[in-house]
Amino acid sequence: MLAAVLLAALPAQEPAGIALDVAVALTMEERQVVHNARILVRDGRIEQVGRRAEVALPDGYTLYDFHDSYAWPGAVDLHSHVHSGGFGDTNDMVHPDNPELRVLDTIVPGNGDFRDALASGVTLVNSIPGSGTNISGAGALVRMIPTDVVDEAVMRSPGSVKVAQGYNPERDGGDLGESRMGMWWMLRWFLARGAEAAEGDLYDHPEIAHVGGIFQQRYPFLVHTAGGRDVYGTVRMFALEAGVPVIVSHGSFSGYVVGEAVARVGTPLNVGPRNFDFNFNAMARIQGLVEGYESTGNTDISVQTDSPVIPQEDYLLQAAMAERLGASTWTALEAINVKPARQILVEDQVGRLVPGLQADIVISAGQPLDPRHPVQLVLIEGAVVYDIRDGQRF
Amino acid sequence: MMLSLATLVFAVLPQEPVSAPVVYKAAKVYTADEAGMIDRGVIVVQDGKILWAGREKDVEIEDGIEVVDLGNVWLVPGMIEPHNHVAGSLSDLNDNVYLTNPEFRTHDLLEPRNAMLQDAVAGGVTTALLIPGSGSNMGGFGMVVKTSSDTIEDMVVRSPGSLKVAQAGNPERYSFGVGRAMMNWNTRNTLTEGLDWAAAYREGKVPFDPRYEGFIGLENHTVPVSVHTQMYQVVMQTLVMQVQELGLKSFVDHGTFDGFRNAPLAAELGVPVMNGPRQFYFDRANSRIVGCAAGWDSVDGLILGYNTDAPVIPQEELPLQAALGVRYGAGDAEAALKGLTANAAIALLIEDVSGRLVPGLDADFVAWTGDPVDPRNSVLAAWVRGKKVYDVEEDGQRF
Repeated sequence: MLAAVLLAALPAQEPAGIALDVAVALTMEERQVVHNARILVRDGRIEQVGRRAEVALPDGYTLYDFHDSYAWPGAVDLHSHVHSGGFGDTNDMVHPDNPELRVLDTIVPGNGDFRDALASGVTLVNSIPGSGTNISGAGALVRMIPTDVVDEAVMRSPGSVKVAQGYNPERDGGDLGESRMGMWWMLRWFLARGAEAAEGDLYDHPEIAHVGGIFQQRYPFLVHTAGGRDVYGTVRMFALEAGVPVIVSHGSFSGYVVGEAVARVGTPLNVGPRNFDFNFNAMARIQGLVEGYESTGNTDISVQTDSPVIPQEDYLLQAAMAERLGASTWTALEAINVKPARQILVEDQVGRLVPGLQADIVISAGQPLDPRHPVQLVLIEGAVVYDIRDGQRF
Repeated sequence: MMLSLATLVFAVLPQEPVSAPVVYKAAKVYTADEAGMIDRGVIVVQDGKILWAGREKDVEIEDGIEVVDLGNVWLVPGMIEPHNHVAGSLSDLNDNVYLTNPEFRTHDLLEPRNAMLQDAVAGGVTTALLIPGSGSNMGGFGMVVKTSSDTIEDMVVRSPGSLKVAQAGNPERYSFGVGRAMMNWNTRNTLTEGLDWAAAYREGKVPFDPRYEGFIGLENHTVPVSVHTQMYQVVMQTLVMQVQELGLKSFVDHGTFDGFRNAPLAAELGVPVMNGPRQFYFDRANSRIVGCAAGWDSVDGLILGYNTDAPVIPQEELPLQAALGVRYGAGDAEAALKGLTANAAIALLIEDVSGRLVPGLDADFVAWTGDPVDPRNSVLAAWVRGKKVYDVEEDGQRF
């Protein structure tokens, strides 16, 4: 009886750390690989990454021994629409431009698509509105944790503001916005409004606040754009003229033909989900898109699913196919973690296995881009949220 | 033992050769046979056939013989797609006249070098079984074809290639109330009638009947039945009715959902399973996914392969089916590759034609940048009957 009283009076025990033993740790920090690695995790953060022989196991840490496996940072997909679980809740096409809308109100955290994503090693997605209008609203960065509470899952809102430059948002009824002249005039007009709003308190301008936040450098535009004309049009309008953070998303068709010009500016590229061009190069040849951008000097390249266009859990296969079609191994590997994290401006939080970053860690039976190997364990913010021993989901 | 090429020619080729032998060297040669994977291997090809495959150091290559050093590549047998609808025109899939239509054949549908066949070659798939759809219980007779040739005559490996039976799960005629009991009775009835006719025809007791012509091969076991079948009870019916009762050389196509629960019986009967294109089953009772191929592979000795049901899954993505099979627990990488080559040949009864790199078989082989089952690797060049039919340098990468 006394013992029970004593125990009840003690403060709740601090949750101890976690140690992960793996064969290979892909840190994704300057392409460093640690063999026979031990990763220590505490308080939701990565504490230490090193060779097992040099990292002692602290008292009280729970050891997960996967000494034949790979560890890598949780994958980050910047282009996803499955926030409410499948199709739907992507477009409110009220005006040609709707910067006031946000996906935050539509997210169903822990939905089936997100759980599939988690089982594939995706830990963070940028949930965004569709491309039905030129500005369709603010997205949100959503963690793939199995929770029912939106605010626990959302890492940042807005994650980005979605712009569609062409090839979808055209107003075919004949009013303003039927061609790129009208659509792009409206975009420039909203950019000017956003720049003005950023000078003051954004709460005074709710209808343009999401765009104003970009001029305060807090998050980027993510622009649905494709083909050489539009890809460079995006670079010109957002990076060169407005000087705001912007991500070229898709960049498909023959977008790579302006690869050298994009590389000179250094604009981030978020390529896919179509991984090749066949029809637009006039040669009836398969041209790998990532290879097309890489070979013209671009180094800031991520891939994407446009889920549900490609199932969210097939995100890593996008990088594998980029490699098949000519991209280098490291470019393909970086395209799913460190590069997208940097592009969406959260590189100080996720995307690499380095001390201090959020412990979003995936363990798989082999190299992450080889789909023969299933994911075995996933940690998000230091908590085990998927374990294949409880049942394989993907 | 050191082999000389001159002695090989007479041992393998049935008649005096008309062309000179060519030696292909590669860092890795996968035979899909007992020799398995050979490091620093060679294959010797003459008159479209494989003369020999083995270690480079075990063969003596006389001066003057053409040697093609492919370098740091994997040389593997051309893959075999055992369930395919794209070798002809996509609209010619089903003539649903009766519940069973054994008089139809895909021979009339072939379209050489169509775009999808070219994708198949670029993906390392050199042989396919073109079959009718599953709109009726018996869609007709399919054919085994090479995917690369310019003429129908060159494409055909065997016609009829198989009888297509759809056991259930598509051919139901819901508006007329035809269910599994009627379908099973009627399918068994047509099979029995056809086999009876073929046996009588063999003995000269009945006149020729074009409706049952294809049954000649079924009855003498040179033509298999490729069976669209899935789920426990339906696969069970395939095994019991067609193999145990009627003695047919049937193989399980699809085999999805919980069909793998028949794995012990299929292994005992020696019935090959060409799994796919769906690679997992959602077990609702336990709220978990189960790998279909892994379920089949849980029994020793089962002959396991994969299909795409192209165009359901593009034919060039055949190895991705095997990759997902491995991901969900079916064997290892080598088992997957064997499933796509040697095991598919067993199912199609073309073991003596292709599927392995062994003497006497067609020289259908493909040079890959690495293991074909890992989709980061791609095809560098493909040969069919010893003739190069795709080269990424000359043709550009197609897949």
